[in-house]
Amino acid sequence: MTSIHPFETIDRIELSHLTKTYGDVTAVSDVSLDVIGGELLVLIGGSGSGKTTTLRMVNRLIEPDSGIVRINGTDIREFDEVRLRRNIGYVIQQIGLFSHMNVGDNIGLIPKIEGWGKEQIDARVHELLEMVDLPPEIFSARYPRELSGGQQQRVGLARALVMNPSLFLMDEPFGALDPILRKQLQEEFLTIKYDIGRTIIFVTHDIDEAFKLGDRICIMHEGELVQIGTPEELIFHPETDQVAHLVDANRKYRHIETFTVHDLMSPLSKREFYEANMPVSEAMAKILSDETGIAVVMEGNNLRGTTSRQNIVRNRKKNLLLGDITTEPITVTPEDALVPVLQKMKTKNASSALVINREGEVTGMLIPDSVLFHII
Amino acid sequence: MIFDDVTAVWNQFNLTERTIEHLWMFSIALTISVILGIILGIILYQHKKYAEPALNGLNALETFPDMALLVLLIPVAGIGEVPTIIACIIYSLLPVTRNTYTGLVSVRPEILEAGTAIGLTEADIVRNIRIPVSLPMIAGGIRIAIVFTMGIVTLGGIIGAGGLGAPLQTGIVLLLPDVIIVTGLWVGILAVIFDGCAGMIEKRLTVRYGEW
Ligand SMILES: Nc1ncnc2c1ncn2[C@@H]1O[C@H](COP(=O)(O)OP(=O)(O)OP(=O)(O)O)[C@@H](O)[C@H]1O
Ligand SMILES: [Mg+2]
Repeated sequence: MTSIHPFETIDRIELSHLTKTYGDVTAVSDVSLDVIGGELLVLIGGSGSGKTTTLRMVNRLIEPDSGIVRINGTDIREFDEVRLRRNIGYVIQQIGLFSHMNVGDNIGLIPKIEGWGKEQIDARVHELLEMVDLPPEIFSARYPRELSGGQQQRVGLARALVMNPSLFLMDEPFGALDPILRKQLQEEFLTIKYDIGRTIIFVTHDIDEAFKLGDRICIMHEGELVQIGTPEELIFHPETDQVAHLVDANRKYRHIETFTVHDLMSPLSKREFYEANMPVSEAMAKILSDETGIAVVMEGNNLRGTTSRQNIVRNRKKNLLLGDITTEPITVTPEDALVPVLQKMKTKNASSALVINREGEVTGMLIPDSVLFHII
Repeated sequence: MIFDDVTAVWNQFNLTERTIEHLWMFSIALTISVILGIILGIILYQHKKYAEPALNGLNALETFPDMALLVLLIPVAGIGEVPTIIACIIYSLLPVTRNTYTGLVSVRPEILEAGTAIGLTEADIVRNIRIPVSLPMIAGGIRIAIVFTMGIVTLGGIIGAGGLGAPLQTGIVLLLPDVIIVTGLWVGILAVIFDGCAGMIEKRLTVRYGEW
């Protein structure tokens, strides 16, 4: 066997003239692209466009009929495939957690096989569960069937991180989740993305997700690569009608000047409201059972601020009240014109704003599509 | 008093000793069948092309009437404990082997794929996924084997194997209804208890390792 890490960091991944056919179906046809170390590259395209097939040729779950994948210049067929896969985190929509093992064992399986000591494994499992905001004391001993979909997805992510891989392959990891939860997980994922600072190839068919997460986006259609570029390049210089249609910025947002906040806001339910004098530990129990993961913190009838599940979980051991860990949200009214609001959010790097009506009541959240941020 | 009658029969026919003999044969036969069955199941999993003929062969042996099998074993293995244990094994091998094999091959493909994708070798997958996930199924096979083995050990009394079959045989030949009823019920109760325990273990394994 080769060394433990076939590659420590990724400088460049070259996919060169990859082709894969199944009988009459050409799943991937002469695809060439470079992934630059440290970037998140999104593969996007309709169903059957060859995204999954392309992705799986990178960790050798599928061998191409022709073409080569090179990591840092080395043909990946020169790596031992088991070593290669242990150095590539792989997260899929169906998650694939082992139902007969608890969360800790799922995450610690590869380290166990690699011969790590028990303490070392426990410490690593702990660290990773903290990272994905699942308190280890609660979740480590649970079985996958005792977790919600979003929680399973985060365990899947923790498991993929365990060997500290420098490359991640993610195949529609948030695809099966409902829209609000998906947005929340995307947010959390973005912060994790900066924590881990790895090269990621990410498959989706949601253009909004692509724009939110991707440094560059690669559009595929019927097995072929159509265009690859940054979000701005795709929006302003689509090379084909197809790309223009997919990005669809024109049609969807042509009348954006006439929009108000009211047109785009989502309502909040009672469950998202918390009292400022609630201890953080108590708030955690509540927010863990709530999928949206957003807390609007009130002091009587007055807004104290907002906070997130991530923030609550990360502060659970400090003896604090919820009011101590809120941040001041951007607040808007339903009648505000949308464009200036978006511009303000963009400069403040905020992905959401709180909507407050004339009577001073919190009525909803504004979580705009990321496409909007790129076109204003 | 019924209780006195039972105690009388129990003492006169040494049922304590007979029970120990009976359970001794039962344990040996069951242990060997389980070990052989699981090994055979794993071997068949590794060489799948032999699986169907082998399981068909075991199935054919299984359709032999048990009396016939015991009698046929006499020229080969004589009479007594040895042929009885051999017959038990021949019968119990099928359920254990078949369930082990089926359990190993029928793990959900997504789970296997996830295993491969995170970098498990074939052997890692067998050890950490296929075997644990098959445990409830294997326990189900062992449960069937327990019932078979109980039955045949009892029948072994006819060919001089001792155990609880012996007093039953005596009771039948000498027409002693007390003996037949007491021993018969006792064997029945034992079988129900063992089956019940095995059932409980199977259930716990299903909860622990089963699919959701
Ligand atoms: N194992 C296989 N056998 C036969 N055909 C396959 C196989 N895998 C993929 N294909 C075909 O290859 C094409 C590309 O499949 P692929 O899974 O890469 O698409 P995708 O872009 O990931 O689609 P989706 O968005 O639906 O996941 C499809 O037409 C698919 O039916
Ligand atoms: Mg796919």
